[in-house]
Amino acid sequence: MTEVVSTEPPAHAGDEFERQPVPPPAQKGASAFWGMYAGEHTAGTEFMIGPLFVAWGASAFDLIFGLLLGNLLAVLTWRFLTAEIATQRRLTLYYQLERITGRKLVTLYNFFNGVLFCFLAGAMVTVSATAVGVPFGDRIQMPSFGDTWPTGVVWVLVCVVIGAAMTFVAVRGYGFVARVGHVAAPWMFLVFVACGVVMLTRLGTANLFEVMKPAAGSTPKIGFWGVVCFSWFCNAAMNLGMSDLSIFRFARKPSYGWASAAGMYLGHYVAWICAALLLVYWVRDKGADPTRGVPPGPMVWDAVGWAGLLCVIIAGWTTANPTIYRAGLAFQGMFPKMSRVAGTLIAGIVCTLASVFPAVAMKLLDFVGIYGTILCPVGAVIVVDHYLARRVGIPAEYAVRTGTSFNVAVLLAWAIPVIVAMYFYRAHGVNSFFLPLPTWLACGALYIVFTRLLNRTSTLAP
Amino acid sequence: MPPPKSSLRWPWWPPSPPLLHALQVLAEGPMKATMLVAAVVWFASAPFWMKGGR
Repeated sequence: MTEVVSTEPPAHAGDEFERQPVPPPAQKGASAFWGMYAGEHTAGTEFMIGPLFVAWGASAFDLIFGLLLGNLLAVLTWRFLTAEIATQRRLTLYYQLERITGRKLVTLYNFFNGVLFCFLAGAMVTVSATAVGVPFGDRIQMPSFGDTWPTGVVWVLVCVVIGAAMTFVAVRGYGFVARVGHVAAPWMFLVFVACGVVMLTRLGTANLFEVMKPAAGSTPKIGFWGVVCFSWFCNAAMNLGMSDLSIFRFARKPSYGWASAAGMYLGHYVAWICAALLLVYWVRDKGADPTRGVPPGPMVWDAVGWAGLLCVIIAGWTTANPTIYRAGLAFQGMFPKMSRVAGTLIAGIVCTLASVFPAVAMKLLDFVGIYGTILCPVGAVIVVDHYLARRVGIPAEYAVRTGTSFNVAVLLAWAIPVIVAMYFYRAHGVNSFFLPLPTWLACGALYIVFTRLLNRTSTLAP
Repeated sequence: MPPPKSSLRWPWWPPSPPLLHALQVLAEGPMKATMLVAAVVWFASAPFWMKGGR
């Protein structure tokens, strides 16, 4: 491993050690990570993902065992890749990447990251809007799973008001929202569980294998391995893609990577299954069309009333806000002269526009896969640089050593697999959540090949 | 006589029948009120004893 020696001036008090390794006094204990992961992965979008599994025809076996395995693989990825590198280097993803790729390529990554963050936050606003819209009754046309365009003027107004409110709060900094999200997380989990309990009692059985079956004659769009891959890669940008280097660089030990299990098994297991039961009940007892689905707001309102609506709004708000904030930082990173407020405003406007179109939220399974496929390959470059550079004879931290601002080898290694993956997604209908792993592996292999071909610098020792 | 539609069948899962019964009574009746009260109590009290989040 190349020792990280910062040439930057020391960070001033209160900053986030963005360009230097996190010093021991700033490192945190395990409980901070367990709490953070439990909170971050019990979000508004969980209310969409569970029902989408049902709409796609997942069976109880697929969900119970597929999520068990997929989440385990996600936790292992966090523990043995992300947390290991983070605690050895203690740098943010951006700075680590900059040391390999050069500043200009990080700017490109920031652009994709910022735009995709905006769409993700937009989906959260959409989910919140389905809850805010419930009291409007028939005056608002709620979107269904098949909708991609706004469903009416009232819908647009609700989304714009929520998006504007979230942007306003994000512009002010998200310390207060982060605090609300932290406090609300256990309660939100309770609401998910309550929804599950209510649905099971209404269905008259707790046998998930009995109630959760694809409709007779239908062809499921997702099976066991689809569920495994979705749950493994829905956060591919964070674990395989190394975005969470920025979080685990504060961990005292790599074993804190196990904390991701709190988010996976509470949010991405219990909460998803409880949310799935909402649609199961509406399909079996209320005759809803599983392929068109029912928006989360009305389902949660029916199950647990005002507390449910509050939960959907808070879950959307507390996760969309930091996402808008991060997107703003990503845009600010592209244009250093831009103020954080301007960056956040741009992010908020893009997010609000995206929220008006239900396409992202209603096709969240697809979107999350695409999000991971585009962003996670850069993580492979970091893994190769960290573990393999010396062994395969390529220079580690190439940009630092050569002073280049644009490492072409990284661009080619990143772009080629993503373009090929997008071709398979568009032309052959391959589900997007199958694409992050092959893209990641291909990027790592191509980075070695292109570095050997293009970055032959005899003076550089590996 | 067939059991009422909403009654949970046992045995099925770790919760004991009394707990099941309690959950069933709660879900069929005061769940919405209970969850609202729980929300009020939680948000009124948790900020005082729950640390972190900033």
